[in-house]
Amino acid sequence: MTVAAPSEGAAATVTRDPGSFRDPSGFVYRRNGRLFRQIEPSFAERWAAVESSGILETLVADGKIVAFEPAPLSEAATPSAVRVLRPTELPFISYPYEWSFGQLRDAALLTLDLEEAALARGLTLRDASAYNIQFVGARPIHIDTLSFEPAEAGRPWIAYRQFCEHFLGPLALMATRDVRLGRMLRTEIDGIPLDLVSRLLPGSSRLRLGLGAHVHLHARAQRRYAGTGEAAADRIERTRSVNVGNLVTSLRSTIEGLRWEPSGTQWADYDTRTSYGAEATAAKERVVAELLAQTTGDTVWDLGANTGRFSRIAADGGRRVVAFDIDPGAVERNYRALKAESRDDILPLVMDLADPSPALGWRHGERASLRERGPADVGLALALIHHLAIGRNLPLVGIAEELAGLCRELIIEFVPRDDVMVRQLLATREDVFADYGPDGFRAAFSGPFELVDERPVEGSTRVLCLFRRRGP
Amino acid sequence: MHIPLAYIDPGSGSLIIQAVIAGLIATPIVLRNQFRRAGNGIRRMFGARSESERSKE
Repeated sequence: MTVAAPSEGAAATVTRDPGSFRDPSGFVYRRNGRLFRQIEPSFAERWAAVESSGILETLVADGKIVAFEPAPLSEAATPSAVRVLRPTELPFISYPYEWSFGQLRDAALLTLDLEEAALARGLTLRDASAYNIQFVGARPIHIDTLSFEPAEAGRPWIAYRQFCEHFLGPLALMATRDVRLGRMLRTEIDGIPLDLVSRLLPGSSRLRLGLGAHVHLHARAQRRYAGTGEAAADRIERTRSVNVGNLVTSLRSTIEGLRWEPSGTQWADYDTRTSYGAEATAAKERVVAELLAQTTGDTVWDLGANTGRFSRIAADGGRRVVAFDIDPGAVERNYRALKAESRDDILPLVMDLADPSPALGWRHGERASLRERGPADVGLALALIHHLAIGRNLPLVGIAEELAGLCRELIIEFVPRDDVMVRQLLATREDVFADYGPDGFRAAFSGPFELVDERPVEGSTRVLCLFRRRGP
Repeated sequence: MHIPLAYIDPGSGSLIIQAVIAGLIATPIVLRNQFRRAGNGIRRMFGARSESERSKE
């Protein structure tokens, strides 16, 4: 939604963030391209209490919440603003359905850290949405500055249900059933309903104290009190005996007890069994580095990054990388390695390029599609094209057009028919891919791109090409 | 005045059950803390310093 700003007249363009409307306390918007958050009168008193508690400075200094600066009221989007903040912008916005198990788990633990820090100062989190957490490289950070408010001792935690539906439920399903169930977050934008989690979890989970209480008993209570209206409200009004600190301690140990090891997924071991020998791998790394040196811009999207070998080459060259892979196991390994290296320049994400994240939510606006979050300056598509063209039956022309929508410059590896990986893909199916060859590849990509450089990879029959998008 | 302040739907069952769950889980947490305290007491008896005393230094 674009509206004229209240002051400075015609000069300012204000665009409200299409995902920032649920909380009437304030909202996020862009004014002349710069990101701001405005606070509404209904939250003024609570904001003053939070601000004077000193919690925000502490958490910003610890890197747990996003930094912000006060901005003058003249930067407000509407005249109702009581305060305007200017948050530090993050390089890339990702969503829980794009995270690996470890990322969602760390996001959950960060949320509990924040609630503990809040409780220690007589405050509480008024929401516990997974969408309030973002990743800078391998480091989770909370971005909703208005999430804190004063707490009243003994009152239940308003965000308990949301925490269980956004974090605990999905993590429990991933850890005890199948890690692919994390994708359910894509269809359940408000988190996975607990009655559904309760039905899908193994029966044995009822015997675990944490899951038994926070999922199964919790789901039963929701059913029991659904539609009881006034009677329930009375009972809630009288509740003064909840020790939220204990509740958070218990949620933490429940989350910490959920584990998943990336073995047995399709690609988790791929890095250790590629078709390349050590020599060809070194040659490929050298050529990729040389081609990267010919490109410009800060952002690189490594499409089909696996555990991020080539993402690191780009990041070591000073680029900010998003490392996408279809396999949750490969992304988990990459995330753990990046975390151990404390890197903040590579963000690993789960993404199926044949079905990339769509625009989701109210008016298709709450969560941006992958394409809307681009284009990147440079795309890397190494050992990828055969999986899309043959593995997923995608036409080469379509692949070229899609990649041109995702990046301005593209370093792509062509994997020919006689390559062992292609032969493997074709071993058990009819070869209906007549166009799949060097000529078909060049013809398809010369539509949206122009060829800048082309290099053979020593020790293999593959070639690496650098393409530049035609037009802007 | 408490419920209207929440902009998300906290769910009546989710609020009511917290008193029950907090009671249920309080037992193991209290027990654990008492074990720790007892452990510290025993260590003190044998001349060692407790964890909390160490952390104060």
